[in-house]
Amino acid sequence: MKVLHGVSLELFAGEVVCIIGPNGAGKTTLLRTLSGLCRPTDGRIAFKGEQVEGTKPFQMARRGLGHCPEGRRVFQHLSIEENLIAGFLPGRGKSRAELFSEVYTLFPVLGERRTQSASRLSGGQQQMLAIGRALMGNPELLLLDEPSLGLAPLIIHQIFEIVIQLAERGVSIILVEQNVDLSFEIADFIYAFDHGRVHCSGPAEMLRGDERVRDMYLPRVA
Amino acid sequence: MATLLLQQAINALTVGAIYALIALGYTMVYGVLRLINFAHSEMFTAGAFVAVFAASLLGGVAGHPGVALAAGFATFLAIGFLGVAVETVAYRPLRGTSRLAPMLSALGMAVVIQNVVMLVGGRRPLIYPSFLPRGVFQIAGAVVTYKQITILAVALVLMVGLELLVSRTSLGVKIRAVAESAETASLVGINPNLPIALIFFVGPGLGAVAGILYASYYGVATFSMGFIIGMKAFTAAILGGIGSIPGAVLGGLLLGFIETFATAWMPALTHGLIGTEYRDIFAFSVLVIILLFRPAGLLGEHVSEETMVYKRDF
Repeated sequence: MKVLHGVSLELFAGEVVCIIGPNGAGKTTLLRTLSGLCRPTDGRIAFKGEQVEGTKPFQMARRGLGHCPEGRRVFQHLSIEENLIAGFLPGRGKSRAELFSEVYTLFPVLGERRTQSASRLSGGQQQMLAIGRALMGNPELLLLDEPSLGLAPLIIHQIFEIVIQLAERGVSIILVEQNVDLSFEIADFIYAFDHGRVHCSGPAEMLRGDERVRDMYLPRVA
Repeated sequence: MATLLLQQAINALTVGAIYALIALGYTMVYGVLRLINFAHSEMFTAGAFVAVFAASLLGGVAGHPGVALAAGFATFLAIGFLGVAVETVAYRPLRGTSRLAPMLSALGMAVVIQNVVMLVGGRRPLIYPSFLPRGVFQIAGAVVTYKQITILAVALVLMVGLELLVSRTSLGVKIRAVAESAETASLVGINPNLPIALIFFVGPGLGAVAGILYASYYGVATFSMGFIIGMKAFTAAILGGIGSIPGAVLGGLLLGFIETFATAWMPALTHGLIGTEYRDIFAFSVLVIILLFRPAGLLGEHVSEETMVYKRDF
């Protein structure tokens, strides 16, 4: 089934781009296409100046694309440390020990519980682990699919602080969010998706309060 | 009486260890691909035959410890590569289609391998040269053969080795990650084909060694012996909880005990109505009972539609 139609996006190094839009707008499909899980029927994807459509997901990860999938998808049967080991990619400029200490500094709770099974973590901690696991690949671009889903506001705040920190270190971020207010807080640029198309887009400060964004979430009269 | 029990326990342990080695191959493949690899039983048979060939190439007597070790190792490698080849040719192209397609392909591979073994190794039963040391000794009146001790030792070493590989190495982490979700594993940079190939190397390798041990223990090998032993090992895997490595070991040993003790005691208990020729019936009765009352097996996890063996696609 064709989900995305004539979508065009652009992202520069160190930028935070938010994709907002209602359920079924094609946000997750977009991320899955970027990381190679879905194959585009048409069109092009360039990453660091190279054509990458048709590249396999594990190859995209090794090229520097980290993907925290929808629903976090931490490995439940693995310990926290093993989840991070699974995400470690050699040959991306940092040693395993360096990346371990980076992740445990960002998320001390993961370090404290490193030998525990990932299934025993709370939702927020699992989200931290999913981000940590992606960071073990030392990514240049990080895709985050609804990291706030089902989490308490305090935890969401913590996680978004980390996202901002990562962006300040130069990691580019594409964030898919249903939470519009949150997106406007941290994004440089916003794309509003609806029915598989870019409904409107622009720098966050320009799009704030735009009625096209507001209308998107209103019930439609046929 | 105590001596008799001990004697039967030793016999049961020996057979059970062999079942367990084979069951590991079924359970690992199922754990990662949700595929019942019906060709696995033929890896067991092929292993027994390849070892004889390897020993003759080495130009020695099968019973010589050095020859036995070298032939065993060579067989492990050869059948390991055969397993990888079968996966590449017969299962990989069908991955991500229905669950039925690769299973049928596995049945097809079983037929092919069995026929190749028959054509090369012959139709008639092969008097098997034992790769295991001769001799007996006694423990508390029970007779223990060095064959049995060697079988147990080899099985133990291989199982411990496998356990260390899966639980202690980063390769093992990758195997478990792919087993949980191949898609997520690929998102974090793991090429799922590598852990899967490894599974298809190690599983058949273990099955092949089990084939050597089995044929050496009973002194005979036939091209068709894999079928019934494979079904029993599969039963052992289900009994322990398919997908679970400790489950396969437990299931194998347990099945060895059930079979040995039932075969030994049933004739007396039923006044000869059920004789020793019912041996195979016991194993498959266990399969039926387990599937009826505890389909996830003893150490298996939650039974969801996803993990049920017989509910989907059949």
